[in-house]
Amino acid sequence: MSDQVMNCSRAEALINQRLDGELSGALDQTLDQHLLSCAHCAREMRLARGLERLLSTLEVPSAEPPGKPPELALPRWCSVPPPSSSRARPAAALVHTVPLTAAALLILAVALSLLYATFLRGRAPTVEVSALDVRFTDRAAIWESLNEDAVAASPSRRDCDGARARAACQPSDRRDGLRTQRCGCAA
Amino acid sequence: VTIRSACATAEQTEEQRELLEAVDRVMLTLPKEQRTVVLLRALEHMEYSEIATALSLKESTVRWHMYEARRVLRERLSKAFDPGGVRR
Repeated sequence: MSDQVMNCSRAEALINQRLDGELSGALDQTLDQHLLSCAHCAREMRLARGLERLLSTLEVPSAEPPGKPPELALPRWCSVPPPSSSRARPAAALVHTVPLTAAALLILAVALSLLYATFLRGRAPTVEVSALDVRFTDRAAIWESLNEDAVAASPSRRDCDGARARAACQPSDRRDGLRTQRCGCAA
Repeated sequence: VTIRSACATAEQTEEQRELLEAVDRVMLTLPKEQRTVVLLRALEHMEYSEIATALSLKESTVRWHMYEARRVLRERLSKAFDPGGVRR
């Protein structure tokens, strides 16, 4: 590339390549020739070199020195904000963890109480109904047996006319099956 | 990563300290991407390809960020210092 085709924009790109150590050979010589003839780019080259030297004076410490003087201020632009994780701040973590744990325990307690109440309300009526059923069944069976005994012992029925029944019905009439189709009484 | 400036060493001059403070101020004005690239390139001495991988960017984009950061730093720091040693 000749100096005639080299403009300042191209020279700036080559300056960056030189700063990165990526410029060599003919391009390096071409840039030098341009810098000799262009005061602006020559000044840019000096500024760039100075800036690179300045940045190279910055360093990343491998470990924090024990006796760090207070005047060793860190560059603000490369400082990392203080950690905000809960591990770094246990007290702050408790502020968030305790209410959450309490809420979880409360929800668990409510759920258990609901399950317990449902268990009691679900089984108790079943037991009662079953018991009532049993009692009702027993009562009906007892009633049935009592009625049978009563029918066997007495000919009276509710749909019979009391007077007629008393006049017509006889235990022997019912037992023979001929006159006891409905109530054991004579029609 | 906590970065400590070599300006902290005892042998550095007040002039260098002022220059680093100027760099500090100008770096704060750069976009975050450019600042990060300068940090990784100048302080961590990472290659452009490594920075691109670390930031999930194209290498050409990383180079452009570094290019722009250098240009802005030169423009703004030229008012603060002269690399030839003459302070303005």
